[in-house]
Amino acid sequence: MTNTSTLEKSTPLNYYQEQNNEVELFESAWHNQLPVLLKGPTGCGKTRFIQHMAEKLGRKLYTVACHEDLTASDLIGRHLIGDGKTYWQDGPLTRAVREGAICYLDEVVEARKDSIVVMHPLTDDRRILPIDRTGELLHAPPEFMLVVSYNPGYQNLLKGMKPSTKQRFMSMSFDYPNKELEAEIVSKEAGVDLELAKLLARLASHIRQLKDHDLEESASTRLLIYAATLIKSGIPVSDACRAAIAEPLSDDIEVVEALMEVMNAQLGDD
Amino acid sequence: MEEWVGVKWHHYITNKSTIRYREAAVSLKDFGKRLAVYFRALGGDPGLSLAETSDYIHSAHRTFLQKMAGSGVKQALPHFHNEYFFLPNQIDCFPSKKSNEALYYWLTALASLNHTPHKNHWIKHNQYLSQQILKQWPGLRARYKSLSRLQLKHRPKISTLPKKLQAVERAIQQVIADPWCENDIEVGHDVQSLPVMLWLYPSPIKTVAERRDQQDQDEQDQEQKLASKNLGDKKYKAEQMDDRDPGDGLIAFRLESLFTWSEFLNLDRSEEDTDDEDLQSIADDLDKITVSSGKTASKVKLDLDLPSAEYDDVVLSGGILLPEWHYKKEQLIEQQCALQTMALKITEPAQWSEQTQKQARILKRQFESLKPERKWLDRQEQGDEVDLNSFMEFSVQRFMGRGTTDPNLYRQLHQTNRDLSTLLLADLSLSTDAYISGDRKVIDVIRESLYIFGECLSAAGERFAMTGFASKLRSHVRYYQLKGFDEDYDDTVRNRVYAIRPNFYTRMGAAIRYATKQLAVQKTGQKLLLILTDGKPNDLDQYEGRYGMEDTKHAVNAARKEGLVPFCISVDIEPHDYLSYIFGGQSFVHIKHIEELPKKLPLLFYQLTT
Repeated sequence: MTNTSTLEKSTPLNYYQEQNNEVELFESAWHNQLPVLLKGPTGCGKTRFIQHMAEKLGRKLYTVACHEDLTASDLIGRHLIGDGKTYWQDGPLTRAVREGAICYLDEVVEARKDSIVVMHPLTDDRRILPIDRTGELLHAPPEFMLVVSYNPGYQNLLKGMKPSTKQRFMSMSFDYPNKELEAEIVSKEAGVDLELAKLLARLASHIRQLKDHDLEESASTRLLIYAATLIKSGIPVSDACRAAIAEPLSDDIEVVEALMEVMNAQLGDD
Repeated sequence: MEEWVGVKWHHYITNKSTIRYREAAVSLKDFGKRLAVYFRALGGDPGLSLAETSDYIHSAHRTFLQKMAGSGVKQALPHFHNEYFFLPNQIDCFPSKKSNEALYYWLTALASLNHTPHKNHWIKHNQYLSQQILKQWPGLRARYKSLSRLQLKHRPKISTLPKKLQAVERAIQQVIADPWCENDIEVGHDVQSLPVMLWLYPSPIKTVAERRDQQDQDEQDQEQKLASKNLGDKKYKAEQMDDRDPGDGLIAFRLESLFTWSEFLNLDRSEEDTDDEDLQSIADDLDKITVSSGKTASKVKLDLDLPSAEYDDVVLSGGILLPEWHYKKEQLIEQQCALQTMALKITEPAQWSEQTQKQARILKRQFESLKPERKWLDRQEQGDEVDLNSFMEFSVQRFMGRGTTDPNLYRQLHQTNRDLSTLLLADLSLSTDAYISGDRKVIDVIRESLYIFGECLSAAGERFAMTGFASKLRSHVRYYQLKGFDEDYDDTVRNRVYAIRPNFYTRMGAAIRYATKQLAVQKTGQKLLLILTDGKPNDLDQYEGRYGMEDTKHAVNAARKEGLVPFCISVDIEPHDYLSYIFGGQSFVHIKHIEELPKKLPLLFYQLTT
């Protein structure tokens, strides 16, 4: 549930291709101690962005993937008993506050509303985290930052982010990059030549027109990278596209076949 | 005997004279959905739908054999018309299934540029379209090559053609072989050359504007609406009478051909809206359906006058002015629609059939279990009782040395409340007056559905309202309040539901906007707007067609912005594309068998909200 990426100065920064001014915006939010909400469709680079930024700012990153059973103590911490005595174990949020790290709650709408409330005092100008169990009151250091993300496309009828919670964050909207940028990203990530990446990016931009009408989700940059990776390892183009793009996008055989035709029109069927 | 010989002769001579590969035929029915997705993915206008067109008589030059057989005059030509892109219902002009399939995709690709070829430059225009597509979609080049090779085989030999056609034919063949070739031939649409299967054609039906040019000034007032025949989704050729050139063709006179289906009557069929099976089969038999645009023998105006004041429902308040979206101007025009809230005139108490009541009882019982009630919640920090299961688990953990100090060992009674208001908006337009089977009409099913829906939701303790709407132009949108949010579901409401009847048209946008207003003031966290309809938005004016669709789409998006969740339940005959265009792919459901609606509606509500 929790993973910690530690910073190792020797490795190069996680590759991230800036689309607009998000890097500058995020840096300035960090300097001014503002919490940030990232929204955007799946696979458009939200998580990659936050990894990149954590490295750039030299902060540790605590990532929590939210789910329905996530409780407040999963975030803050709990007492454990062992060897005849009890001891307190910090949750990822508490640890991030103590260490002045970045805490990233992924898919925050999936979490129960009552567990989300614990982060409210951290998101206004108080920037405190009261821990009821131990009676501690943590003041977040200036380096601490809270980042949450969610995918607005997902909302089913009765799930969504409360407007009042939304308002506590500075929001940044992410979308799939434009064709040229996306081609560059795909080519760098999968290590394929730019021409192939360009074709894939063009294909994706066409498939994205089908969003809401024929498809629930549009083709993500991530899927393109998968396809390119398969092609690079020697899988024929049309098989790779079927496995990495058409099939993941729809279960309807008619739609899958139509997507394959679109791919053939772009990439050729032989 | 004579007939038998005739049939044999017909088969023999048509097989001789036309190039059709029946065994390799592919039909649009099997590909429709794929092609529609393909069309949109390549950039086709998502507001358009795909439809099939039947053979269309062209005036191409025919070989002697073809004239003998009376064949070669008909061909289905792909074209745009109104909100449709028409494709041949069947393609069998190439020897393999694969090529015929590829032709469907090729034509769809051409259409995805959303151009209708100009009728005076159709060669040039198709050349341009082909170039664009081949440039944008390099993967199609190989396919085009093989298709064009096949197509060239089918083109008439230039030397066999009359002189006047040779130059055109040469240009056509050049362009097919190489879309990048230079040519500057300009020919009108009526030129007598064999249609190219790889190209799009201008609509065979003239537009209102074009026809208006032809008509005398004094006739213009009589101008009727454009005649386009849509029986099912198949399109038949409608043609002006004076177009035919009788010179080309060989007719052996046979006496029985005097009694023919094809005849000219000066009747206005532009508003023909019955979808009758007999008409369908007649139309299939016809070469063409003649539609006159001139003076009509009698003028039938399809306007439904308001009922007399005595029988009419009661107007509750003057007009509530609502805006409307004009998609061409891309502008929300304020105060465009006047909406009246109406109370239904109740003439008799509700009498539900035994069967309906039984169904309602069964579903009601199921929904009673949804009623907010006190439930035991396990694993609580505090509570009225000890939760033995979690205590066991805790003890085990502690023995193993891993116990936590915050065990949740209690159970607590908890009131579960749903934070949801639902408004059901039902379409009560005249189209619901149609019969489904026997003596049951669509409106009867809707009436029962509303009744059972109300019974179920009130049993489940939901907060809900039920309304209906109909319209006659923008000045008169009727909005019926069947049950308000704060009203109890009692006999008054049941009587109102029982009293609904079909009325006028479907100006859906205005109704949705008003329903949005009603729902927006509800103080619950979740707001669900269910729209129950049996067809497209439609009214007497421009609201029919694209305008109405765009306005409704705009209203739905506005509702979404207000934080509502709009959801459409359609009982249209077919699950048409317009539904996903208006409501979005995830926000509608099509109920195939309308008889199931009463049962499905409450269950659908349950699925959507839990």
